[in-house]
Amino acid sequence: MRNGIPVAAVSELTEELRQDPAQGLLRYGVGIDWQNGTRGQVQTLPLKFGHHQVSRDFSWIIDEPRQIGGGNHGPSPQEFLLAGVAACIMVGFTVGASIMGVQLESLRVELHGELDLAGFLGISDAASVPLKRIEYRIIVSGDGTPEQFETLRREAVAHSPNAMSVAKGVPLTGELRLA
Amino acid sequence: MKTQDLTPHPQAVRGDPASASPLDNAPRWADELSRQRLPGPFMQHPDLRGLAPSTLAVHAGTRDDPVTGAVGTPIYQTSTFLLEDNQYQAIEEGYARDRFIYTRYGNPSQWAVEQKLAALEGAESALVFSSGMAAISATVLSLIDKGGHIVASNELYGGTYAFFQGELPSLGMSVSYVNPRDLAAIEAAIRPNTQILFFESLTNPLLKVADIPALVAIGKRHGVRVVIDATFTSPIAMQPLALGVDVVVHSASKYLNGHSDLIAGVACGSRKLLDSIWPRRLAYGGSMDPHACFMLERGLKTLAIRMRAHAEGALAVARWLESANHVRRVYFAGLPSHPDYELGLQLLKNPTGMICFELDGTDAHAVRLLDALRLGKKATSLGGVETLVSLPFNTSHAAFTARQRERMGIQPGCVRLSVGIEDPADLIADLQQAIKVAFAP
Repeated sequence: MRNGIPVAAVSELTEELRQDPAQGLLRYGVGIDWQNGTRGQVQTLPLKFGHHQVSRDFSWIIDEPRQIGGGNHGPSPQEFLLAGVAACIMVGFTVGASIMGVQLESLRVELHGELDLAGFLGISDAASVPLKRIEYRIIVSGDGTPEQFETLRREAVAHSPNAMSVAKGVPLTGELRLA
Repeated sequence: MKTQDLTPHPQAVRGDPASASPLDNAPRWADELSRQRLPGPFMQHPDLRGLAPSTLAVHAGTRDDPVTGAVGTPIYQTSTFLLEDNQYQAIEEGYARDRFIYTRYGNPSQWAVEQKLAALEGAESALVFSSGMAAISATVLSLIDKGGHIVASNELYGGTYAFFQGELPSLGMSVSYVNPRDLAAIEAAIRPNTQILFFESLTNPLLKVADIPALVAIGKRHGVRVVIDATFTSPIAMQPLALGVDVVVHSASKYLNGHSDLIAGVACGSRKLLDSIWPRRLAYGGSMDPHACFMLERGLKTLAIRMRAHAEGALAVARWLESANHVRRVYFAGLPSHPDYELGLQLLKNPTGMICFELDGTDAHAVRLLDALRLGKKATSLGGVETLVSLPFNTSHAAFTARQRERMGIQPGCVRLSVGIEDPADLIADLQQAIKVAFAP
């Protein structure tokens, strides 16, 4: 299969969702349990994929660098945020390349984010809490033309749920429960 | 000397003629892809709607040889196929299941019997396997993910139980076993990571009838798929897919083939789910040999009349057993005394040839009875044209203690009878003399 992507199945799924839009609704979840300091253990929660529930049995550690008081036992929350955006762009790029009939040789998506800690620490009203900016860089080789790769860049980013969540913002609501 | 061209002219499509490339319109994104899911893969797509099961059993999928005019599907005894651009393209674009490439992927002899089985089950797609357990393992492992959980009957076939209990834990998967007739317990066993309800249409050996509509309703409420092992019923007695089941699996070695002369399995369901099972058949290697496919296809042609004969014979034998000396109890789905008789009337179009009866004695009496039979074969398995008789205590349920078996309802002296298609009067006479010998002083 070109790039390891089953294009026939992508096509069939696309057609299925046209007929049954509910099948394309996904409800994800993760939970993180504080261990100590800034370190926590993440556990993926069962996924609701369309009409069905799916087991998601993955777990990993998130921590902060020692430089801001963490234990440095795992990537930081910001690195996970960037990784989530990068991976999402990568998926769109490989699926898109396969749809366009482009064979990839190599593909790397790099993300860089800039943060001013003054926002988190509340030192200055001028400093913003969110990342100031995120830049991506896609480094690719394969049998596509430069124009095809440029189309892929545009489409992959524009169709990336994570990139668009970050770029456009999504409503964040929440509550507190006493355990 | 002139060199002869030994290569036949390539045909337009070696595989499913209805299956097309998803990239026909030079798409730029997913919304421009053109391929839809179709039933199959089949070599032809005749309209079979409205045909009765006995007609489908003979004609569906079976394809006369276009070259010689020979009637019936030829045996395509080959491991591999000539490759043309069409097949390379199918591999590259992810629809290799629709083209003939290599027999582990698919073979016309497999496709013929798969189309027949799909038609009989009312399925969009079917896959045959080298055994029933190959069908079950590939189906289950394609429908659950890492950390996934199954709710299953606590009276499962021993092979399925061994797979669930022995293999799934090492893959990080788990199973809860519940009474197949206790719907509240089944629903209570569902967890957030449950992905499958796995039940058998008729249990072994006590022939409890699974309330499939109720299982489907529970599955729908919780977003959990329902898989039914319908080996004991066959599509002549019921079509679980029509009741909302996601995948039906069979040991085709039993009623489907019907002649106790091959080992095979099948999974039937939607094209979507069967396409997800297919890569597991490839990876786990349980593909079915073309010659065995030919035998299964031939066996299936008589499925409807065999099931009729099994049921008629079993009803006569079961009625006789109910009045026979030294027989304490008889289980047969077609007898009003069967605990699930009413449910069976709703769900089963045919009570099957399966009978279970308890001798008014011990397992030793049952062993003596088997030894004294002249027609009935002392053998495990079921669904053959010949009557097969076995004892749960030393075969299917040998791993349990006597007390455990009693808790399941399997009493000492329990005999499982798969009534063949012999004349029931001969079978009754054989049982009569064997019971007499078993209880002789």
